[in-house]
Amino acid sequence: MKTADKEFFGEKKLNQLDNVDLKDHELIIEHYKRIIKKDENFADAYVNLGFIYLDKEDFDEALKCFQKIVELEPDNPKAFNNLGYIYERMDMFDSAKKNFERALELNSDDIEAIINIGHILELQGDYHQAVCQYKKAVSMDRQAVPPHFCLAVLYDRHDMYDEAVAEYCNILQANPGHMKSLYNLGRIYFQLGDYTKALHNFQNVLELDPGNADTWNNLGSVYEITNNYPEAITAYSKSLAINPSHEETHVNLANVQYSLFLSHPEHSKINDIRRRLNFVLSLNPHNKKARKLLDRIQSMPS
Amino acid sequence: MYCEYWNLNKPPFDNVPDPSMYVDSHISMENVIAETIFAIKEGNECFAVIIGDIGLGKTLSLRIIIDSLEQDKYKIALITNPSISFIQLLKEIIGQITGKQCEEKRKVDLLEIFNHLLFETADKSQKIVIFIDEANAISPANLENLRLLTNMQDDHRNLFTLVLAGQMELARRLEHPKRANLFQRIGTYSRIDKLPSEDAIKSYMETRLKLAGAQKKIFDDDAIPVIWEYSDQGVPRLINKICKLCLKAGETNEFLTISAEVAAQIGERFQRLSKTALQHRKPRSRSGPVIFNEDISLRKNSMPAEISAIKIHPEVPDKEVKALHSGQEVHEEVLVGKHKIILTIPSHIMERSKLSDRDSQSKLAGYWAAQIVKENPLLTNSPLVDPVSIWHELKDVIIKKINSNLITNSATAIT
Repeated sequence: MKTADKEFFGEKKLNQLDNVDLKDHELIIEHYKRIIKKDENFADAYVNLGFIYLDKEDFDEALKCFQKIVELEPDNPKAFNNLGYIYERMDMFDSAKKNFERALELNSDDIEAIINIGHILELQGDYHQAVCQYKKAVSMDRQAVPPHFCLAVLYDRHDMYDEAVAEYCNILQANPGHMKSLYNLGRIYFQLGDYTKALHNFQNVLELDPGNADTWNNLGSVYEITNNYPEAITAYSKSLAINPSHEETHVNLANVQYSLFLSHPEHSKINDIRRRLNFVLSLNPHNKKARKLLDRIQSMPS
Repeated sequence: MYCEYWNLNKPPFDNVPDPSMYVDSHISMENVIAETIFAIKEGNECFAVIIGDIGLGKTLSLRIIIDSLEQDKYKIALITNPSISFIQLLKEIIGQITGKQCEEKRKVDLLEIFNHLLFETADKSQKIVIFIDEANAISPANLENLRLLTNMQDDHRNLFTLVLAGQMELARRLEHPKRANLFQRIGTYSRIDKLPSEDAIKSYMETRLKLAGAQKKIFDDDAIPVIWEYSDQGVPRLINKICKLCLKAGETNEFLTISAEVAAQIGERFQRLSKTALQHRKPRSRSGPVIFNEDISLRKNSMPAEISAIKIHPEVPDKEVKALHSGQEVHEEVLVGKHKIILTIPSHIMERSKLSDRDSQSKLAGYWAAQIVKENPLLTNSPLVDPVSIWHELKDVIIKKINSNLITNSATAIT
């Protein structure tokens, strides 16, 4: 997965720390430690230091920094939200939840704290309570995107299609360029068989982010399922130009090529398909779809 | 709404916890729920174990069990990701039971607090129940620690029950002879299975539809084998998903029943898609003063626009890095596509290839070539380059190197 995709799928990326070398980390840590030595109550230095440790995934040290901030600023809900976040990253969900709840006690309008609590409930498998929390956050600010998006994704992941579509549409009303909503909505429309809408959504994503391999792959799938093989091949090729190791795209491309081969059998083509599937299996020997298609090809009468 | 179209009182196939939909529908899951509730309430067991693969309903079962325990009688802790240290685990458990964040850091203090809690709770005629989901992620050391925790029992009463739920890996660990001590303490050991047959799927679907108020047959008989196939042969979560999508498609297209063809179309579709894009979670930064020193700059990784030679070293785990510097590692400059590269074949690949037949050698070379392609996007950075051709070229080069190395070795051995 390329950086753009990683970001798209929500992997952690902290603004000010993008592309920081490891040796820079150490230099910066030393720098902040010196500052803290001069003034051990300098909360901002702990915040910045905490972020560096977080970026390094050194959660124990990050925890110490954020605990210190809570000590220095016991009435600051942000500090508790951040401390909760560290606990969440450490998989200590109950401690995380308690800190988010504390943030909410300090500021009952803190939508972020409500969302964070919802997220913990989601991680604990408590779907209904998580829905309640997100709905509460939505009701506090109907225009804010994050509560709608969290609720939409929760519905989406539980196959509650109508509810998810409604939430994604709410987001797009407020922000028509919300890429993740466009993308997820495209996925749902695809599953529901509404290919025109799916196509429209994926195309919109690609206008905003042409470097998104997953969206090219999904666009290819829409073309493929509507039997537009040339467009499907173009879309899959674009996906592979962005991410040459995109397993799903390789399998999908092999699938289209196989469909074409069945209508116009040519020996060299089937070898190309076999080679592609073998490449996928070299990347991931457990890829069931590649194995299945390869087995089907191998069992063909020569 | 599709429920209206099909004359249903409620959605029959939602993938959300709903205890009313588990009656008479998924037998192994019902048994797991009943046995575990018995272990907690009646059997007074210290350990209850639930085994089941992904999508079979472990987490839903836990939720149903938890919801069935009376709040005034049971103090509950639920750990959903136990791959944490034992100290963190204890802190989490104590925090959830007391409702206050536990700040103790020493294991001995935490154990004392936990012990005190057990007796205090029992004295109030309550019982502590600890649920650990994804217990297959518990480290062997923590499993042993949990066993020792169950030593903290009264002579006459069982003060708490520990419910472990996990994938097959958990079963393998528990059944290992080394853990006989722990295994002996398990009161109930139950397993959630896939639905075992097409008939079972049919009965599961019909039961759910009936519970949702269906008055007539909705799915044609020939749709059942298709659903069986696309649900990975009986995974309830997938069955629900396919059936729900079928009902929705039926409403949209005004079908009278769901045929095999419709079920196959639905099954094809959902297998194709990439995962859902999620919310990007991060802590809140603050707009504080900029306090970087001038001599500390954040460098961006730059990449040369044009290169003719690059050194290729796929990232490998630590143990493999060691292998890179020992034995018969191969380093050689070769031309792949338009790039001259220094190809490195680590010694463990060379060693393994010695013991392999031709087919396995080809797989090994394919694996290593794929790692190189994956870790070195520069090799395939032109849209005109097909990564599969590059991979194949690299694979051929690696096979040749392996073979020439084998010949050299055998020649050396002969000399």
